Amino acid sequence: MSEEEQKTILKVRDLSVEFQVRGKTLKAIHHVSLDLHDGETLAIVGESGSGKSVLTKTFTGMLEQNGHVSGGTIEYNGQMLTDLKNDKQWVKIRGKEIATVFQDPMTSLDPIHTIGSQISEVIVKHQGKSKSEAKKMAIELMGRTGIPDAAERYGDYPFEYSGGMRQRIVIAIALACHPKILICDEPTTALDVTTQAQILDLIRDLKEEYHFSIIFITHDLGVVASIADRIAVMYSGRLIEVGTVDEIFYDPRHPYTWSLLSSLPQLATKDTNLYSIPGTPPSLYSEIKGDAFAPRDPYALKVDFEREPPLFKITDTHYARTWLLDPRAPKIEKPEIIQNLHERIEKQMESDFMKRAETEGEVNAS
Amino acid sequence: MKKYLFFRVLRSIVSIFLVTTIAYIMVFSMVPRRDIFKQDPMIQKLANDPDSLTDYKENAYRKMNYIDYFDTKSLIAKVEAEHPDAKVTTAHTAANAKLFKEWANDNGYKLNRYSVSKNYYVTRELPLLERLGRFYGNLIQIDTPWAIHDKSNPKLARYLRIENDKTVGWAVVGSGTRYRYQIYFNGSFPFIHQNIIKFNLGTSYPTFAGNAVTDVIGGRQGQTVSTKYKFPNGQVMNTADNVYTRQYQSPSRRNQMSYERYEDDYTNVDQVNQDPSMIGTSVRAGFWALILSYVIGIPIALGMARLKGKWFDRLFTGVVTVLMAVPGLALIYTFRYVLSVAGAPDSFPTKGASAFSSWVGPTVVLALLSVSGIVIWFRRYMVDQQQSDYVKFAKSKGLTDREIYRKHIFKNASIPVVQGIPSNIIGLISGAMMTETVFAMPGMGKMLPDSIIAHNNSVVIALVFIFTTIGVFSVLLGDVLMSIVDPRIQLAVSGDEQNG
Ligand SMILES: Nc1ncnc2c1ncn2[C@@H]1O[C@H](COP(=O)(O)OP(=O)(O)OP(=O)(O)O)[C@@H](O)[C@H]1O
Ligand SMILES: [Mg+2]
Repeated sequence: MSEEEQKTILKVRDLSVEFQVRGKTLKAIHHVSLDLHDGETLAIVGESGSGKSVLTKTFTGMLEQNGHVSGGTIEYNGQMLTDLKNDKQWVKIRGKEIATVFQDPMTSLDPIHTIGSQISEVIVKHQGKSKSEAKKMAIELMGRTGIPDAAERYGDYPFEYSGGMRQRIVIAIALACHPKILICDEPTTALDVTTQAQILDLIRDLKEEYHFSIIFITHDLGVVASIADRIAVMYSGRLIEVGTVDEIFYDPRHPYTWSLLSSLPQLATKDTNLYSIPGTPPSLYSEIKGDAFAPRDPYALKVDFEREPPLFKITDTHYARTWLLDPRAPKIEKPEIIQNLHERIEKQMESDFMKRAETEGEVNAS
Repeated sequence: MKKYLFFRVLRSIVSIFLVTTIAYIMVFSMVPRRDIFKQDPMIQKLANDPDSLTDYKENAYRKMNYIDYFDTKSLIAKVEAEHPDAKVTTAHTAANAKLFKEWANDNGYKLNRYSVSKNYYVTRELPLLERLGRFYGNLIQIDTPWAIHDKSNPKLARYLRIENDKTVGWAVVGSGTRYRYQIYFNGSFPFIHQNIIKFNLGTSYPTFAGNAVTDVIGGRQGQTVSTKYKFPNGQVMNTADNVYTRQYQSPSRRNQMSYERYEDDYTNVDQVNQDPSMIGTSVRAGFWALILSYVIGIPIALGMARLKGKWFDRLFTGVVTVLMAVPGLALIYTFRYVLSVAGAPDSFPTKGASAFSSWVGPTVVLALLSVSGIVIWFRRYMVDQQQSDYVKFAKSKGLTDREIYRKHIFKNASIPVVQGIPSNIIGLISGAMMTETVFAMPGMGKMLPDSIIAHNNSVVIALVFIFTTIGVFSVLLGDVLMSIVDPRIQLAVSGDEQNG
């Protein structure tokens, strides 16, 4: 890794988030610390409800009314985002510095405004361009994100676009102001596999061109392997393991990461069922004693039910929050199914590659 | 789009036709016909004169389209027309009786005798279908130069021409037509008027007895107003006559003074009255009530949505829930009381239609009746919008709340406003029935219950017809407006994927 990539653009320290729900307090994020380096793609994975969206919403001050940051700091390029008080201050960050692409392209656009006006709106707002200039830039951007006949389709309404095309527009809007960070909150979940691959390619290409960092939220580890540099694994509002893609895939340390990897669909063969993690995540309303994953963890130690494990350092880039890394812990091997993950994934990537080549052929042909 | 609209209008007309027909059949077959005399003072007056009473009743049935009826004199005329050689008289001879019987049999009539004089008369029950046929057949009357056939005026000229008339200025003037002025201009909205196509919804009875239903509902009311006119003979004078409505008057019933004034046989005129018609009264109150209900409802709903969960929202949620739960009539009386404390008259006729304050009570009450519906529906919509993904995305791309409201939410909010218009208009109709009755306001809403109580069948059906037309066309209007504010909705013939 080069010197430049190590520059940290976003520093999250000991961040906690709470929601008030009918008088009760729900703690969605627990003391999360995380760095985002300039130009990298960081994937955040974890099952539904683990706090991926909530965590990233704090970066743009987009928590719902009933939520607030109850502790910790977020620092962006030297600026304390946790000190920002109101929308007026946040407006300078949103879109301009940190942009977000949400999951559902079908509903992310205003149904009764034209596609074009929704793109140029941001350009006028953030770059102070005139309407006609903004229109020109918007059309260029539309073309750049792969909309054919962009100029003609500028005046179309969202309902005239397919899901994939709408997501391209959403990405175009997000990138209209050249943000430094692009948060993609499951940007491809609502799309079919082919479109999904195309959108991932698009994001990758645009990143080359515009040089921004990406936080990519997903619960699809397969997607992660193809796009991310580093992976952060979340469980029940906690960051339980973080490392480079290779480290997480081939040297995972947390039992939860193991089970996540075991449930990769690529690992299901014809005669074995897809692995699924038994049990359900704990309630966020009550304090959890010990390791939050312990009740569902077949490898849980006694101490896991008593004390929360600290973040153990494995390498400079690899950390995990599990008592198994304590020198006193018994030696436990990761499950067999993910032992030679390397080869399996490689094979999978190959066939993926073939598939993509095919679909690209189709796209070009049409 | 044009094709779609054409079919929509066609379908609307069909639904109006169906509703009106059903109302017609129900009213005429289920309401006992003798009930129409229940409140008729004439019945008492004629109690000592059974023959006149019979004549009065049969005539009433005839006017209401229940039967065909010929009294002795008309019967003789009919029979003589068929047997020009025979001499028919009222005398109770066998020859006369035979002729009457024959005629009655041939024409499907029933021969009856008055109880005292024993003179003959005939009646014929009109089958429902024939009655309906007459109703629809006469519904639209088109005036032509061949409309008038008057034996006493065989030399009546027949023409249509453009003239600079001495009284009304430039106009399309007709002769042989029912109306003198076919198309004319004057200062009242919409400035160009016509007498060519007229609706005929039958004759009102027993209230407003003998008047055309369209005049009862659509004619101005209250005291007459005089206007200065220059008549064709050069005379200038103030008159309450509405010279624009000059209709043909047979020379056999000529009023010499009018004839001299107008210098032709079009001397039958309506009067100019100062107050708006029933339909005008209701439409005026309804229109302002509609505007008012939105003006009140939308800001409240907006405030509630923006301050969702705060005291403002909770307060009005409570208010609206109460408004919804309490029966309409109780609300009307309460609002009327409150308004009267504030100084508005609690009865429309107290100060009359010319006083602005008379309109305040009914209009405000009518508006308040629909406010709760608007508030609930609009608040819900705004809350949904605020939480919608596109608003979140707009926020995340750096727009301020104000920009989001101004550029996105408000425009989206026009959709439910427009969508709600038809149901609000329909709500106003039922609201008007109660409100107008409570305020004794002379509009269609009061007329409906009044005419039901009075067994004025023709007016009941006419009102059903008018209300249905308003309802059906407001739905159509709503859909057309929707297609204007919402690009996703296109009016197309293949309406399967649209909600048209
Ligand atoms: N506005 C809110 N009020 C109360 N609880 C909330 C709110 N927003 C999120 N939560 C809770 O916070 C937890 C984390 O939610 P979050 O949306 O971050 O999950 P996620 O990891 O993004 O899941 P998914 O993969 O389904 O999107 C969940 O338990 C959720 O119920
Ligand atoms: Mg999420």
